[in-house]
Order: sequence, then structure tokens, then C-alpha cells
Amino acid sequence: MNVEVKERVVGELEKIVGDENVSTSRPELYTYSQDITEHEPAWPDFVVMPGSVEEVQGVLRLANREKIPVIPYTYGDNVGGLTIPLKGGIILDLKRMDSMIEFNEEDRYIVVEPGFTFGDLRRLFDTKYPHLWYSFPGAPASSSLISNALLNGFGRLTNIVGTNADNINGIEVVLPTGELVKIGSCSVTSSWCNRAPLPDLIGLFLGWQGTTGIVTKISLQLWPKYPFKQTQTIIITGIRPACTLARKLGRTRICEIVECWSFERTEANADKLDEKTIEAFHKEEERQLRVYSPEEERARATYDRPPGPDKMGVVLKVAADSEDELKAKLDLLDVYIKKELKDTEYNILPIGSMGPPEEEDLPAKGNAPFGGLTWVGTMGPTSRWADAMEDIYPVYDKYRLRRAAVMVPFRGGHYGMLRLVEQFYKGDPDEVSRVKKCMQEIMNVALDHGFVPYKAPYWAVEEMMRRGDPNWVELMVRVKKMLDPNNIMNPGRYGDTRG
Amino acid sequence: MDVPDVVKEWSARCAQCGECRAFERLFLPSCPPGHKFKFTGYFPTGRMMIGRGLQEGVLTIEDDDVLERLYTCTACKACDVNCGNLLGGHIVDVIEGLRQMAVSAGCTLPAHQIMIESLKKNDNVLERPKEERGDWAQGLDLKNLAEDGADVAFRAGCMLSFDSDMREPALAALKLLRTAGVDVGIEGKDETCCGGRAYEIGQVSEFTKYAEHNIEAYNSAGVSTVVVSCADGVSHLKLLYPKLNIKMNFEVLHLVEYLDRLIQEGRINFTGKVPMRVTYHDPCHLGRYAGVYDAPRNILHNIPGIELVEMERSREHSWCCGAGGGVKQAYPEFSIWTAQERIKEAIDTGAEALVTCCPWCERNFKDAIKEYGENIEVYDIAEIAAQAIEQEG
Repeated sequence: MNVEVKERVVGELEKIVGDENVSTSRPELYTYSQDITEHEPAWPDFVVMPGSVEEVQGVLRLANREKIPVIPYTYGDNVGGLTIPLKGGIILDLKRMDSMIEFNEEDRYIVVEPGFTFGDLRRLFDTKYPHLWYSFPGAPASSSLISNALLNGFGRLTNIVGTNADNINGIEVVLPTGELVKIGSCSVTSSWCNRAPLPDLIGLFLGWQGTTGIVTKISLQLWPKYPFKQTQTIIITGIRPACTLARKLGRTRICEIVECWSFERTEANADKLDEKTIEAFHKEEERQLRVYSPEEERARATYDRPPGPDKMGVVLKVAADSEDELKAKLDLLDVYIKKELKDTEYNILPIGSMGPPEEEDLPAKGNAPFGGLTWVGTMGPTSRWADAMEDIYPVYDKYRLRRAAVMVPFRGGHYGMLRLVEQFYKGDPDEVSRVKKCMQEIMNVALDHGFVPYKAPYWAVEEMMRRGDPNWVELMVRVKKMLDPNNIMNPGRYGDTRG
Repeated sequence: MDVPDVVKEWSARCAQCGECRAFERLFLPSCPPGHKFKFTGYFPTGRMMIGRGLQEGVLTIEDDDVLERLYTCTACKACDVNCGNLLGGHIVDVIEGLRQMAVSAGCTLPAHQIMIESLKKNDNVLERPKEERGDWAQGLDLKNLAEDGADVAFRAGCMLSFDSDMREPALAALKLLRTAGVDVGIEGKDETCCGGRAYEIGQVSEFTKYAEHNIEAYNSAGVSTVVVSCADGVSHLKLLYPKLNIKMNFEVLHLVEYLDRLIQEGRINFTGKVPMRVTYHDPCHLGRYAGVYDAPRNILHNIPGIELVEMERSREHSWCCGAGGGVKQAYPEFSIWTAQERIKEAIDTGAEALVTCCPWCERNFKDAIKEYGENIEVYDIAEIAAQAIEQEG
């Protein structure tokens, strides 16, 4: 962007949002140029922090007129590189817009702005509404509810309620051309309670990664918090029996949470997880953290997996209104587990051995002790989990990285998540390079098995556009063009790549 | 440009996850500059990234606003408490390392330059003649450590020594110590700055000079204990001085730690009643740095009539007063905005007074009250305690 245009645009942006809310300083632009993932940095030209819907409209009208890219941003922790401004432009940082517009206890929904965080919601529950809960993800407290829901983020009630996108009642959105639109019951009534039975226009903004507009308000469903709960963890030898157990338990809907995971160097690797072993594992975790000093980092930079079957953890959370209900559910669970694992080696961990109950841990902390965290997050048929995993895990080995995966059934297992994760050290270019190649290869294997990436990085979108039905691709492009005629919204992502 | 090891080691390990922005479990803001200015560069994670950018050569210290981002941090360490990734806390270490890089590159803020020149000329950071250092104690007939020796050295520190509005805490401290029969002396005009503020703004050589001098002075005086009224000072003496690997033949305690000990030993009895509802502000350097949370509360609980009500953000989750890290000198408006946030929180408890035990905190709170016109008293804990030995029950 030439200097003259830039200066003129800065002047106009300052008029819209106030000069204290516009930055073009190099250190500031740099901090928005990258995120927690392995993705290459790209610098924005401006960072702008609107404080109201009118200011968002003003910025978008200006950007549309000047054909400047706009990247909606809340806290930048999407783990898909989605707010890295691939083509420069304006980072529209929405964290000043952090109000709760409505808390409807009776109809159990909340209406919030983009800057409202999981921490804000948790605080609200803790201080005023202890009987209510949300499908909190394992994300930091500073993550935005809006961003998580719009990007199909999953939470810890997913087996019952689906992704958080499934629980959107309505939105208010500023179109790239500056118009303000409400969608859902709020568009025709005074209530933000539901999105059906109207034609569902929310899909024009769900999963689009901010390429079709700026959502300025959202209504999300809240759930009961049950007084009795128990978390159980089963360590299973072998990918296939663990996946099968998780899918089948998902179908029963006994558990709020069914998670199947394997992280090497965590408890799932232990053969006998008695208290002594668990304590030893925690010590090992501490030791590994200390290993990450510049002098010793090479000690972990590559990982050659020892031979042997994978140890998988299946985590189950049961919630109930009464002790009797909890006991009945646990008894039933026991029957299923014994039946399903009768020919399998497994070990049920002592209650409480895996740390505090889930709800005390949410929002989550400490997900990236080495500075880097990335994943290929996908959704697809739970029946294909095991096949996919058996093809994906050797890819980790090829790049000498540690195997790590999470599988979660959604809505009783009608579909589910398959997420291949890697924590990595950002200070080692070789490790970062291997992570990049590994993730791209895994994504292809996942697609081959029928799993579709969510929070998909641009290269994953390109691959889907290349593989996809040409008419689907064309429709995406047409929808994008209709809403965003000058392609200003987060360009280089959905609707801006034809494969 | 030489990059300090601490920056090399830790800046690449910040995950930019944002856990540093709010106090864990409370989910309330923890970072004053981040909360005030909102841009990522003002949050701890932004500063860690700036460290990475400087290390990679993508940014330079001379780039516009780099200094501003580095020096709006009050070094309150709330980020280190909140971070779930860099266990043990290394964020403020990195920020201090970056400030050392700035100083090495010859880049300093004008206000800090004035402070350093004052330090070099007057042995204090407040631009006051060094000869006035011991004036606060005139007429008290106190022992001079160099001439008379004493078992315990009392360090008033720069703020209590030179700010005429802030004399009461020092006088109250001496009253308490003498009532307890402590053999106490001061250095008077020979006392010098602890050097901690210099360290915090990246002037390590100045810090080292004062640290070496002070260790030598207290060793020579043969004191068993150095009692410090200032939270910043006590953390610097306790935590930074030992890094010089010079043997320190004395124990360092904050006044509240020492008073708490005297109470436990039965050497101080509070016979007077001080009927007051108060809330206590944990100074960052005494709390998060030095880990002292119980001693001030024990003192308050021992004073008849005092009702202590806690703010929601207390102990390791305390909101900073805004005065630390050189912020009060370089960004005074932001500094007292930060204090005002705390004062509002104190008022919300229904307390009549905000009690603390650091003169920098107290000064900043008083400045904020003057600026914003809030109705609450501010006291050093020593002032309250001294009242309880003055009055009959």
C-alpha cells in the first residue's frame, strides 16, 4: 500500500474509531502477524479497535470503498492461523466490544459481543448462575464465545449438544458493504431464543472464517449444570478397541463427555497407572518442561517412537441430578465397558487420579508449554476413526514427532471430531518445518478417510476446493461474491480460492 | 545486538494464548497496560512477541513504540502468576531483559534518564539533594549505624525519606520498633537507593553499584537484620542482591514481617482500639515477588477495632497500584489510572480506608485520589499499628 493512501486511510480510521484505537506501529503490527501455530507470519497494515457496531460499519464501508482487506480478530487463538492477514490490510480487533447484551435465565441463552470471553461467562456462572453451564472448550479463558461458535468449535458437552455452532440462536452481523443484519428469531421478534423455523441464513456466516461479514452479537444456548458428576478414565491398549468403545458409549448418551485421546508422554502411556505411577508421570512432565532450555532442546527436538501398541485414554464424564441417577448411570456404563472390552487389555484409573473434575479446569490452561500448538482438526464419521488413525499415526513417526490425537463423538455419535495435535517448540526451525509438513500430510490422509477440516488453514481450504464438487466450489464463490463484492473479508480463505 | 539469554530462552516459548490477561479462577483483568490500552502489544504476550521480533531482527529497539510497549509494563508479575505454559514465571524476566537490551542500545525514555541522572548525582530516584536523606528522622534521637552500631537497621527508602507527605509511615515504624525494645539504627544521610528501580528499567550497572554498596554498608555495620519499609526495596534486597554472590551477613525483612514476628514474640501488644473497616492492598513486590501475604493480615487482625475486608483481587491475584517498573515516572497518567482502578475496587468493599505497606503504592493511591476525587483514606499499615499502641483500649 503506498504511503499516501495509507496516511489517508489512517486519518479516516482515526475519525471513525478515535486515534487511540488505530495503530500502525511496527511492534504492534508484528504482534498480530502470527499466532500459536506453525503458519508463516504475514503483517497487517493497520490494527483497528472499534468500540461499537456503528464503528464496525464505518470501518467496513471505508475498507470496501478502498478495497482494503479486513480480518476480524478477537483473541487470535483459533489454532488455524485464521487471523494471520494473508494479504495485509486491517486487523479489526473486536475485544473492546465485550458486553453482555442479555442473559435470559428462563429461556437459557446469552447474547454477547465478540470480546466477551469464556472467562467472563465462567465468572457469571460462578457468581450468579451456579445452576447453568456452557459447553466450554479446552481453550484459554481469554477466548471469545463468538469466535468459537462461528468456527464450529467444540466444547465439553459435545456428545449431548453438538458443536457450539449447533447452539447458536441468532446473530447480528455487519455485511462487508456496511449494512447491519439480524438473523434468527431476533430478526422478526424481540426474542433471541431460536433460529428455526426461519430459513437458516446463519449458515452464510458459520464456518466461513470471517470471510462474509463481522458478527457483532450472538445468542448462544446455555445448559444445566448438574450437581452430581463423576469423571472416569480408562486406559486401553490399541487404537481400534478404544475408538469402538468411545463411539458406542457416545451412542448411549449416558455421558456428557466422551473423549478418546492419546498423547505420548502423558498418563496414557503408562502400563499400570496406580497412584505411584501417576505421580511419576507428573514428575516426568516437569522434567520435560525443564529440558526445553536452549542447551538441551535438541534432546527433545526429534522423537523416535519405541515399538509397541498405542495406549489410548477414554475419558467419560457422567452428570446427574441425584446420587441415585449418578449411580444408575455409572452401573450402566460399567456394563457397557465390560462388554465392549472383554477381549481387550484395559485399566480403569482411580477416580480423581487425573486431576480436578473437568468443570474446575475450564476454561483450560497450559496447552502449549513449548510455545507452539497446532492441529488438523476434522469432523467426520466416527465409524472411520480407527482406520484413519492407523494411517495417520505413521505420518507422525515419519517426521519424528510425537503422536497425539483426540476423538470426540458429537450428538450421540452421529458424527465426531478427529483432531491430530502437535505441541512444538517455536525456537527450533527444523522442528517447525517438520510440523508443517506433517500437518499437511495428515490433513490429506484425514480427507481421504472422509474427515473434513474445521478451522481449516488456507492450505487446507485450497485442498478442499481442489478436491470438492466443482458446483459446490462455484456456489461458495458466488455466495462470497454476493456478500463481499470486493473480496475484502479475510481474503485468501473460503470463497477466495478455486483450487 | 546482544540478546540476553533470558530473552533467547523464553520469548520463543510464549504461546500467545492470552492466559496472562486475566487472573485464573477470578477471570478478572490482571494486566494494567493491557487492560487500559487493549492492543496486543501492551499485554505480556505482546511483549514476549516483541522479544522474539528483536531476536529475529524483524524489529529493532529504535522502531517506533517499541520502548513504549516495553516500559508501560509495571513489572507487577501478575502475568507470571497466570501463565500456565511458562511454569515458574519468566515473562517479567524477559521484559527486564528487553529493557537491558534497550539500555545497551542507548535507548532510554527521557523520564528515566532524569531518574538515572538523579541516582548518579543524589543517590536517589526522586531528584532530591542527598543531604536531605536523613531529615525525616530529625529529633528522633536515633542511633546512626556507622557511628553507634545497632542490631537492626531500618531502611526508610527513597520515597519515605524525601517525600514530605510520606513521613508518617517511617515515623510510625520507628515508634513501633522502639516500643518493642528493638535496638534499631539508621544510616541517615548515608543511606542510598537500593538500586532496584534502576534494575527494573534495564540499568543493571547502576543497580549493581548500589547493591554492592548496600551489602558492604550493612555487613560493615554488623547488623543482624535489615528492616525495610518499602515493598520494592525489600524484594530487591531479598531477591536481587543474592544474585551478586556477595555474602550478606544479615537477614532482610519487610517491616510487616518483622512486626509480625514481634507480635508473635509478645514484644508488641496492641492495647488501643482503632475502629475502622479497612481493606488491604498487597504490593506486588511484597506479594507476588517475595511471597509475603500473611504477615500484614496477621498484624491487622491483631489490632482491636480493625475490620479487614478483602478485595476480590487479593494476595497473588492483586491488581497492581501502577507505580512500579518505572511507569510512574514515564507514564504518570496511566500510572494513576491503574491506581484508580484499585481504589474503585477498595471502595466497593465498603472499607473506610485502603491499607498497604509500600510507600510507592501509597503515594500512587494518594495521587489518584487527588486526581479522581474518591472518598477513601489511604494508610501504611505501620500508621494503623502505631495508633493501636498510642491509644488506650
